[in-house]
Amino acid sequence: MIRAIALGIAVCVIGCGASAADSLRSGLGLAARGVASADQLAAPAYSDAHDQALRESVTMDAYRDRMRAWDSLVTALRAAKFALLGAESVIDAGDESEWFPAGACVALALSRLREVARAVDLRLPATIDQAIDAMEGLGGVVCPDPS
Amino acid sequence: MSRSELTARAIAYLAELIALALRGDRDAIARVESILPPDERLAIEREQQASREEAAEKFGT
Repeated sequence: MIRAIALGIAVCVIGCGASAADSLRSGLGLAARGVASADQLAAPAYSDAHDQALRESVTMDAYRDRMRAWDSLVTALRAAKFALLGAESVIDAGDESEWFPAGACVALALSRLREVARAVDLRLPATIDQAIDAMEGLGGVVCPDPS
Repeated sequence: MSRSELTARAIAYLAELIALALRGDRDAIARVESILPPDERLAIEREQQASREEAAEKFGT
């Protein structure tokens, strides 16, 4: 249903003078801004968590345990960044059949980011929630397994 | 969130994207690679590296 609406809107966009690719690029650009903002919020929070973990730990293993959730956040932010860059490359390549799977990969990466951010009580920019909702709304499309 | 709420939010988001495209807002369609340069580390990655070096120094590893 949503997929059909999205395709319909994309067609309308073309008819209205803007390209579907530009519209998708806008979505990726907004999501990228959300990830960049999340990074700016997360970096000082990571540093604070590190200071506390360093004070409270007597071994490297204990320190690593305390930082595990924050390290997952680093991984999730990095994955979101490369999912967005990958989706942009897919649009650049021009094969429209790949656009929805690329969007599903972005949604997956942003969902994971939201999940790990909650684990460390970090509030993400609303743009990320909006992008996840929009891309998850492309129901039935899955991110291809690279293996 | 219900399916209908999800639908409404998805449509609102897509509508926002279309409005930006129709306005020809070039800034709104800035490339991802200009916002998140692939060859540049995230701020949190830099914090992570600095933190790990400090921890390694403290614990002697």
